Amino acid sequence: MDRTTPATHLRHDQMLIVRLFGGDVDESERARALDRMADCAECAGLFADMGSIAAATVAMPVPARPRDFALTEADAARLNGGRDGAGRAWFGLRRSLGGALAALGLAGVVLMSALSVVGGGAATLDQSNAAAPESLSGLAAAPQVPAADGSNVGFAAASPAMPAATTGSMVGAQSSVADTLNGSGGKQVGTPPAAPSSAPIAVANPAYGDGAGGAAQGGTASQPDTSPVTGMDSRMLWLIGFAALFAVGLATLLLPTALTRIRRRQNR
Amino acid sequence: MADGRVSTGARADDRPGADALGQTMDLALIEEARGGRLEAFNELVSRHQDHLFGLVYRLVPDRDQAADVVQEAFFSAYKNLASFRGGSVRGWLGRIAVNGAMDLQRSRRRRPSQPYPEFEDDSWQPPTQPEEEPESRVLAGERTKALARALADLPVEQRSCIVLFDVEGYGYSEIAEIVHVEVGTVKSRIHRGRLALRNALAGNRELFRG
Repeated sequence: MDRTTPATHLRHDQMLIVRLFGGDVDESERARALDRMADCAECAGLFADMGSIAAATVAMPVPARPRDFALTEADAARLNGGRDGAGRAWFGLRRSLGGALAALGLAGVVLMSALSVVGGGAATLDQSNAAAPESLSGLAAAPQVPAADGSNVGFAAASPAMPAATTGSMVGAQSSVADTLNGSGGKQVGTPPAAPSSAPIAVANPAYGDGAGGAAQGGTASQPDTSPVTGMDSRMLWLIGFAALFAVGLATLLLPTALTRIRRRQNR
Repeated sequence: MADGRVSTGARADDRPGADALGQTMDLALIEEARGGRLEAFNELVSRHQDHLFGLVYRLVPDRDQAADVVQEAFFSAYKNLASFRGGSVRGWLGRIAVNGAMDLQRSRRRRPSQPYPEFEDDSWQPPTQPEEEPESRVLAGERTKALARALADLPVEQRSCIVLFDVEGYGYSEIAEIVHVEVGTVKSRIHRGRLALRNALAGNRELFRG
């Protein structure tokens, strides 16, 4: 084994001998290998080594097994629990529910993250409404319904509900509203003339649309979406919500199995 | 030794008559266990636990981990009694155990700091024949230690194929079924593993010759 392999003995020659030992050669290969072994002590030694190592592997002693592996009644009950109809149905339900929640949460996280990247830190409200889930759009759109007298729900009506902290930043917007009111008879409240289509949403969204950056920016109403309760960007809230959904889904999927394994280890 | 197999008598049930009788008993016990009789399953456990532990111990170089794998294999077998489709019960249990051992080894790529610690413990001596000379006993112990170290250093894929071929006596195609790879892959793993073992044992040639 410790002899230097001659230059004529390439790796595939060794492999040929090993394959001969394993009975993995055809007739021509067998003849070639036997020829080589007859001519070469190195090859013959390799074959002999294969035999002695295999014999030693088979004869390798095994210590006494440390315990009896018979199943207890408790083991059987636990294992049967996973095998009966109810257990299987519960497992299936848990897997489906957990998978759905995790997938929904992950999709939401990805979507909201993508929106943040695309829209930047202060995307326009138009963008957030376009991309937000249906429920958010509904909430945002609800106040757009005109009042009974035919005029829009004016900015003045919405303003008292605004958090005090945000009112300062809205001064510019109010000026803009006032200007617009003067010019349009209150029909397009808070809407810069250049972007009339975004105005109703921007104005009539007191709960979501009046953030710290609520001042009118240029021709588009650019108002970050901030929760009046937490003061956080609502997109961030959605992101956290989706992440929580993802975590709950994963926990539903994995936690029971992990707990079972831990219990099994402890029982041992 | 046309195909390199070594006859050692390691498999007590290899005699045709004993094998057939044992297989019949195994099948009867499986049927009883399927009917809900735990004692029948535990009789199966009793018949095969030594063999499975010996098999897994050659794949998982740690006694406690090997025991865990065997226990899990019996749990899995009990849970999946309904999926047993006939054939060799011993082979079925072996397949479950080997896959469990390979999964464990793959999931714990980090090898134990000292594989086969029993062999380094002087208080544990491998079983010997009464007529064995003290010198050859020592030699056998040294050989076992060297081989254990070399085996533990092999990738688990090669190690499992070699053990299944040499120790368990499975053919290439049977091993391919057990480890879920192509027959050519099994052959390659065995041949390369043998060469690697030989190279690893190059410094201990005297222990393996003579």
